[in-house]
Amino acid sequence: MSDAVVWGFLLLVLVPLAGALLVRAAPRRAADTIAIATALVVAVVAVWMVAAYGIRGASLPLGGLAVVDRVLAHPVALFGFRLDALASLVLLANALIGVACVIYASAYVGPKNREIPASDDRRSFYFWLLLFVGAMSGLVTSATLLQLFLFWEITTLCSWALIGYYQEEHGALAAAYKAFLMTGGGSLALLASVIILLAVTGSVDFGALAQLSAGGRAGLATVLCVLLFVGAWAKSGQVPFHTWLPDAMVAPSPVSAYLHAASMVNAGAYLLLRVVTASGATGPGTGLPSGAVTLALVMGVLTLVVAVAQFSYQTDLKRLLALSTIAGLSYVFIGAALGAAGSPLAAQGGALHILAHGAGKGLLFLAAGTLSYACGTRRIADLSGVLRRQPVAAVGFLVGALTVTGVPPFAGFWSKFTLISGAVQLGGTGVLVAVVLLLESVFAFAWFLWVGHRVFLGTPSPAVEASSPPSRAMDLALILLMVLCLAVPLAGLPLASAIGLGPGR
Amino acid sequence: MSPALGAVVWLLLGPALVLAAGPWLDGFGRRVRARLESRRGPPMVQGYLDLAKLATKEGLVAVTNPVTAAAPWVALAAAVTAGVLVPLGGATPLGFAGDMVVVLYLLGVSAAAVALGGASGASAYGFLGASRELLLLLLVEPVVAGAFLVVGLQAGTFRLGGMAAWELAHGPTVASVLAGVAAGVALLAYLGRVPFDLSEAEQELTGGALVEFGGRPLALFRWALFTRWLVAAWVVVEVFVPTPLRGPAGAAASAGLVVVLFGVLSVLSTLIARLRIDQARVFLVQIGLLMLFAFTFAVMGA
Amino acid sequence: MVTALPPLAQLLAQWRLDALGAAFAIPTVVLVVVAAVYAPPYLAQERYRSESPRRFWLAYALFAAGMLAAVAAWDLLLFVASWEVMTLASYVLVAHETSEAGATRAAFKYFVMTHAASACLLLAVMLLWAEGGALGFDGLRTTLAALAADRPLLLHVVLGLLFIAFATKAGLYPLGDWLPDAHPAAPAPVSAVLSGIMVKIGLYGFVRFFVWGLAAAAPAVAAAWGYPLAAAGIVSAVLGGFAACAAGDTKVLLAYSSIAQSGLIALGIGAGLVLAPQHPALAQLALLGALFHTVSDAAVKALLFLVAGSLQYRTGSRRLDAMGGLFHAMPVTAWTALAACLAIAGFPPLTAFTGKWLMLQGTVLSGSALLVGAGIALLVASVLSILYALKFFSGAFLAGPVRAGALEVPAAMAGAQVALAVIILALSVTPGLWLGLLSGALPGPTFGAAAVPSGWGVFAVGPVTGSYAPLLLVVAGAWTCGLAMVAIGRRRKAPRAVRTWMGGSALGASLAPVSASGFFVPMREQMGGAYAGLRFHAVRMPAWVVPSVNVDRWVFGPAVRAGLGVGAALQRMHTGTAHRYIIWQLLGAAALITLLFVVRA
Repeated sequence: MSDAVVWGFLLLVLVPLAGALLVRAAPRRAADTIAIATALVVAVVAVWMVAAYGIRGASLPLGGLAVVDRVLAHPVALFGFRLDALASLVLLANALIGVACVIYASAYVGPKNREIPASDDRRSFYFWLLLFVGAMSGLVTSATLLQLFLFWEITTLCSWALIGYYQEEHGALAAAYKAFLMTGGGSLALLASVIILLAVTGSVDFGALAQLSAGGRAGLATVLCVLLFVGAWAKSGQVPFHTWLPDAMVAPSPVSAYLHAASMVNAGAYLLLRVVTASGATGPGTGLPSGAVTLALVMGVLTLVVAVAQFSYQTDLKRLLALSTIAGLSYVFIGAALGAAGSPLAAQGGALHILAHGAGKGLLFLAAGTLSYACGTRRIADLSGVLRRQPVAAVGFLVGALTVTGVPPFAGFWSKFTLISGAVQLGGTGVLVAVVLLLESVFAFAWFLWVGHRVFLGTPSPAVEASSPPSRAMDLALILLMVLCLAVPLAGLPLASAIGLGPGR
Repeated sequence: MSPALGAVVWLLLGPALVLAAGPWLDGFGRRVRARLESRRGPPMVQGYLDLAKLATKEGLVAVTNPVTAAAPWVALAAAVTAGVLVPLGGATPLGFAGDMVVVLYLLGVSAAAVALGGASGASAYGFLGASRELLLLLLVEPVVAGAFLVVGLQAGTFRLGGMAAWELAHGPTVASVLAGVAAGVALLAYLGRVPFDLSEAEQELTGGALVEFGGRPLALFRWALFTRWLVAAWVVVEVFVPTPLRGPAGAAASAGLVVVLFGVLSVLSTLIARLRIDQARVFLVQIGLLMLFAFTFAVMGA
Repeated sequence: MVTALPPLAQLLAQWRLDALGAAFAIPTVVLVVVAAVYAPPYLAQERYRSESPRRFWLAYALFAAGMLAAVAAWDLLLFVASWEVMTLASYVLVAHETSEAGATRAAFKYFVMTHAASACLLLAVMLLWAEGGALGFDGLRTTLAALAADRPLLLHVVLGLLFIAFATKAGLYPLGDWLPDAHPAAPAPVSAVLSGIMVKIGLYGFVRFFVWGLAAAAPAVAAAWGYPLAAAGIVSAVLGGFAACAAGDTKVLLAYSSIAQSGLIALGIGAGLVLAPQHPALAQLALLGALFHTVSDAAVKALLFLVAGSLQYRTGSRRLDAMGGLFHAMPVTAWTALAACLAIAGFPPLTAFTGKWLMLQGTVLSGSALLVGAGIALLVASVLSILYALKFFSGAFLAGPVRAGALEVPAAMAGAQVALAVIILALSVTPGLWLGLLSGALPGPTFGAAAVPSGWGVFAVGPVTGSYAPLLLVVAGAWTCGLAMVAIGRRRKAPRAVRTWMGGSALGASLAPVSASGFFVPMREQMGGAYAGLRFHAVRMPAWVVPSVNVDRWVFGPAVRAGLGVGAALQRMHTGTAHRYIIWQLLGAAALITLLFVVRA
């Protein structure tokens, strides 16, 4: 491995950590600058790494622990970094959307916010946010399940801290605690799966589960798969562990956009995709146990239906977006499950959807945040005619809705096309799943358009009449994300096409 | 003579013939009605005399614009152009495939031009008359067109000459007889004669669509109306009751049949009172059903 | 099994403009340019003053690009993407008047209905890709033929999805229910392009997939699908015509007329598909008629919408009742409107008659009962178009008291209208030329050049037998007028205009009201309304859904409460007093010793 690779991986993790510590210790006025600079540096490093090694691949094994080697009687690679096409996609999502969210937060979190005025001291906020950036970068570039778990836990902690940031808000601490319990409980299941896997197979590689299944112990492999799924479902807010996500919307909007739409909740989906692409397709003697794959597919579709069914009851804009996030993530889970069933296109579509959905959903959350910042409310019934006051937010909402529901030329179209084509390629059940996905797309599109019309068009309501003018930093963040929504296919499609199914990838 | 020369000759002479023959039917019809009412009635040439008189009168109109000024000319030109396409004595110098459609269409255009005249201006009577005229056109056009389509379907061609020839060769079939009856009855409505003259209903509408016209424009409109009577009756006779004679003898035979048909229609006009618009609609729908019957027979090959 | 999407660079290079695509692309370019000339003075009106012109022009450019991309795309994915971009851009344009609730509601309905139809198109494309393994149009015929041979049911599913998608965009009944709301709500230049060319691109989809693709690959299947297409066409034509006659708003009338004309074109395409196996010459006639009608209706409908926009510009209203007597006040608009109204009424020699006449030939000469019935319905639709064209023109320009003043629209708007009128006249007078060009666009080998009859002059149209020249009728008519003028005498003086006579006294116009909506009251009373619109009802899940999927309530809530209960119970044990702890320890030790004894025994 070359020096550049080493430096790249280290910088990805250490720069945000350093930035976090620095911003905590720095004076109040410098906090914004340090945070934005850190995020920019991470973004630059990430883009460079992806451009140089995204398709080629790069890895940095870091060995194991002597005690474990002694117990298992052979060397076990417990730690290491790796970058390939799948990791690149999620890394780009993490880094680029992170920049936009940090810029946005510098204006959003503060006394000028008419919905929830907070103190002007954002240092602890940036600390947790930057720590999260580093943890997520580490999670995505982990080469083994164990290292992934370590970073996973750090992100849980950051999420708890950030959800509860507005400590005086009603329900904020309770929501943070609920999120922590549910995702932490899932992490325990994941830990159990990893440890048993290590004990039985002597490896924590992503493909170890498939090897276990191929080695004739399909029952145990299925149980371990289910435990792993539980961890992933809890993290990504899938049924039956989906109730923490709508409650977590008490967090500041940049947090909702970043952690709970574009980055952290993708960790569970990413884990599943990683295991699937390392395992290959199901079949006699290969891949993941077919029972587990069926379970994953069923739960994915169930999540989609449950989430979308609740759309029509929402009066709060952010809760509606949270439910839509759950639905969007279920797309990735369905893609992974179909990939395990034998369709590489579906897995590629799922991977690309992480990036596309993240950009679009982030945009939606930031637009909703602009509304609550300026007008002081996030209730749909109280908002109308916002277009003239906040044109950038209005366009951002439209672009985000079109991205998430898959209208060309925005990013979501390409990911959904790939994913649903992958489903159709499988035939039979796949076509049925494709029809469900298309129906959901159309329904979600109609609902978002209706909400958008309700909120942005028409005559201004009293809350909108009294709203404050747009903030430049927030508009800049929105524009950055809109550009990202258009530009994702350029980099995303080659990366997604490079993802394949098979052992050893 | 060669077909091209014959076509040119007919193009020059035909309109004159059609123009000249139309007004005679008006006089004839009024004579028949008068005789039924135990009167002497006007001379047969009364139609010509009326037109001449109108031509000398001053034309007063409600609005002056090029479109309303052109409407009478369009009505007349369309009716006469339809007339030159109809077979005469078994010959169709200007005929072409599908000219039946063109003939029906041009007659419809002529009626629409009358309605356009009535719809100009600020008179409610004219407006109402025009709207009723168009409604009648809408109700009767499918019936008449359908009757012709039945024959065309059987003959395998929509060229008037071809349809006539087929009828001549194969004689009457169930379908064509039914269609002929339907067309004949609908002809009253097509020509706007009593009992279907609700668009002019003098007692209601003071003259209907043409109430605001006088002098030359009115003369042209009435000439167009006479020509429509002539052309419609002629085409019905030519298609449903063709004569085997050719040339001038054939023309004379067809003319005689037309006179007979028109006489029958005039008798019916005298005997039956004007229908209201909903009665007219019901009646025409029933005739339409008869036409559908004929259509079914034609499809079945009877 | 396909393993990856084609590379983006390769995907974006799949363009080809063949003759069929050019037949649609050229009218697109012409209409886009003409409407763009018309737009700037129109958008300077009061009602659009507060809207952003940048947004309009950006969306307009995207719209034009999307339409051209849709007809030039040679790849299924590119086709779908252009289709949706076209819809998105036109949605932004329809909703241009953002403060008007009716306009935004119409735009919402439009976008949702066409996006749902696009989802059908998307599924069809994915199924074709899964079957054929490639996305290019080059392989489309092979894929369709393979489907027809191996999996006919799947082929019918794909064709049904394509049918729904294209019929929605083309405005066929009942899927085209968005049209009467969206086209009136949009600004006039946008309506002109929407009606003039965008609905025709829906019909282009039919021609490309069903005629170009399917008829060559599986003629029997294509013939079967021709029937529903022709049926949908004829129903749209008749119902659209009735609804247009009953409409009191100029743009609503024109929107229903668009539906009717779309229906006629669909009838021509459907008849062509049905006749292709047995009567190729007639099929070619029907298709040629449909293509010619497409091109001519593009110009005519666009001109009519621009005229409606000019009328709205000057009178401030879209209702026919608010207009009248404008012939002298707006001469340029009036003359161009006359050309367009006569054309759409199908007066020979103008364009629509040629197209309809060709289609009529194709349908009624076939001898198939259904098609002959369609021919009759075509005649009815033609009569209806005379009616509403008359209503439009007389209601706006002729009827009612003459308006004084010079109310003509600005030069750019008038110039755009004149340009379209010139195009209509050019198409009318030289049909043979255009038909010759269009026959090159018919896809071989089924409809190809081999079937074109000889003897096509520039001024004549040569069908199966004989020939017909529109100019012939004009010459005959003119000669007639000359003869009549001779017979009736030269005019001594022009007719005099006098006030309306009403039963003995000259009443003012206010006491003799004449309204365009009254014109068709007898018809409406007698024929009844036939066109009921689809209404979206608010989507609401049943009330029991939310509590039943509330996992917190059934699972986590009780679990957490149970856990907290255990904790509370444990907490009660920790009282803090020392002797309680000693008692617990002694009890515990005793229990442990007993257990050890039991186990050991």
